[in-house]
Amino acid sequence: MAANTAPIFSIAGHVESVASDNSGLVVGPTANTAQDGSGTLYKAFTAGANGSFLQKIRFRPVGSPAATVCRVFISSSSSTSATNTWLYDEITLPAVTVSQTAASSVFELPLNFALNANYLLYVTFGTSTGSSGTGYSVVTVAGDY
Amino acid sequence: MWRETDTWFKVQFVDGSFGYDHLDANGNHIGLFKEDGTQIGDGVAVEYTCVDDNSPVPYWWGK
Repeated sequence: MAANTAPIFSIAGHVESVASDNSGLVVGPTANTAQDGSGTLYKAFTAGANGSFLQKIRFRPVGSPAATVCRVFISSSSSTSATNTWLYDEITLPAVTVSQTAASSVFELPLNFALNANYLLYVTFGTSTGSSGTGYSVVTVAGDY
Repeated sequence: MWRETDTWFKVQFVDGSFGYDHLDANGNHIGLFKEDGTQIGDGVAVEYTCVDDNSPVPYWWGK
């Protein structure tokens, strides 16, 4: 018999950015083509002690990034490796030209699942988006249980 | 095929060596190359960072 027959809700909002986890870094200039969780990955989110409900990840262009693909990984450890880190999804990010008179496109990857307690999300980019400072602000919208 | 509207990124790989990322006029990736012009396939795992997003065309391109 299942232990829980009633829906549960998050108790506190949890919005987390790659920039906040990586000293304000605009990610994208560094590419990592590996799809097995090896190499350099950028932390995007850490689930709470009781797990978190992930709603979505938003990708907001900064500057005029070149086209790329963003890969989202789930990891059970902050010491990522091919054995504890798994490719969850990808999103195509087309080239964007910055404008000071019109909003640039924003891209969202829906998640809508509960993430295990203390598990983490990481992102990588398949190709470089440009020089330092040209890339993406990546924000995860979630709530902690 | 060389097009004047193409863009070349100069990139640095994690081992310290350099290379080039070739993009078309729309900012789409065409190919990744080592500094000597050897192309790196899309299925090869590499890490690199753009160090110049308006690099001159590599000397070996078009030869």
